[in-house]
Amino acid sequence: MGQSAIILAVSFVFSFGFNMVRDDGLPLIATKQIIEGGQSTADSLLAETTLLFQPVMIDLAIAKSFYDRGVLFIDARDDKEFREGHIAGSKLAPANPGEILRWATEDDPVVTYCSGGECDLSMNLANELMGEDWGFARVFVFDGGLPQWIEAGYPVE
Amino acid sequence: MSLLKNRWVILGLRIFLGIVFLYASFEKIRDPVSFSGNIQNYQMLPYGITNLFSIFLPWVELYVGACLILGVFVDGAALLSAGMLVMFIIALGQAVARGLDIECGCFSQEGSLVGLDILARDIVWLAMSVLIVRREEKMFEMFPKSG
Repeated sequence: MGQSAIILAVSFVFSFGFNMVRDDGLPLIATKQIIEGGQSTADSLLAETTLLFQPVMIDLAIAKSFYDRGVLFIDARDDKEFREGHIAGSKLAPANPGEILRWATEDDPVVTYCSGGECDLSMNLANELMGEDWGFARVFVFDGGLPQWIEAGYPVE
Repeated sequence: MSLLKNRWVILGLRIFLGIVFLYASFEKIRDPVSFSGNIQNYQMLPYGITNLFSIFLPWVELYVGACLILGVFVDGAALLSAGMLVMFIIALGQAVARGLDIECGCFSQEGSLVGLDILARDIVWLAMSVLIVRREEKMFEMFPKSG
């Protein structure tokens, strides 16, 4: 219908126009920003003085560095996939995320992962953990997930 | 049922829905990042295109709300209102069916979780939109006045 099309067209022009001129405009296509780096980046991310406002995606090297330091890894996939194989020592995400407090405090760093690629379970879980309900302070998402971990030959069980 | 076709009732529905949409749009336009996160939580759209929705949708809500209240392009605005509500109902329905424990994202920081109450609310609003689309008499419509 013509009127609807006009309203949509006007909305289109103003929405994307305003998004372009405003300082905090969004990128049109959300791109993943994965923190890459080595030991020192990992150190600084783990420092208690590092304030995070949202989950941070990390690459394989940083994930391994965290792992070697004993950071808690949470598998965000379902229990069937978890039983078939997971990062050694990682825990299956409980139905109630609050139960993660059995293994760590809100102030401890936590890494979530799933099957990499298009899988967004780990990011959803991370967002939930850092949300108002649970208030975890530092949650990281290992973007490569289990496939990348296995490919690198790191321990699984 | 003639009450539902009464021009004053239709005018009331227009103003009510108009305020709902205006109110819904403001916070989303102010904070598209949060809204983008809300959309992602519904797990319906592929990662990457949620920003397009979070930029565009609030402005459609804004203009639909303004048009309904001002009486400009009421047919088109009511149609879009119905279309958006159908979309919201589908999104909410699948979230409730999957047991997603997520924030609605309907309005600003209302903090309400998706659930049957919000679903029912949207269905009522959809019915209101349909009544406006099917109205027989015009009342305080600036443009177009006839046709």
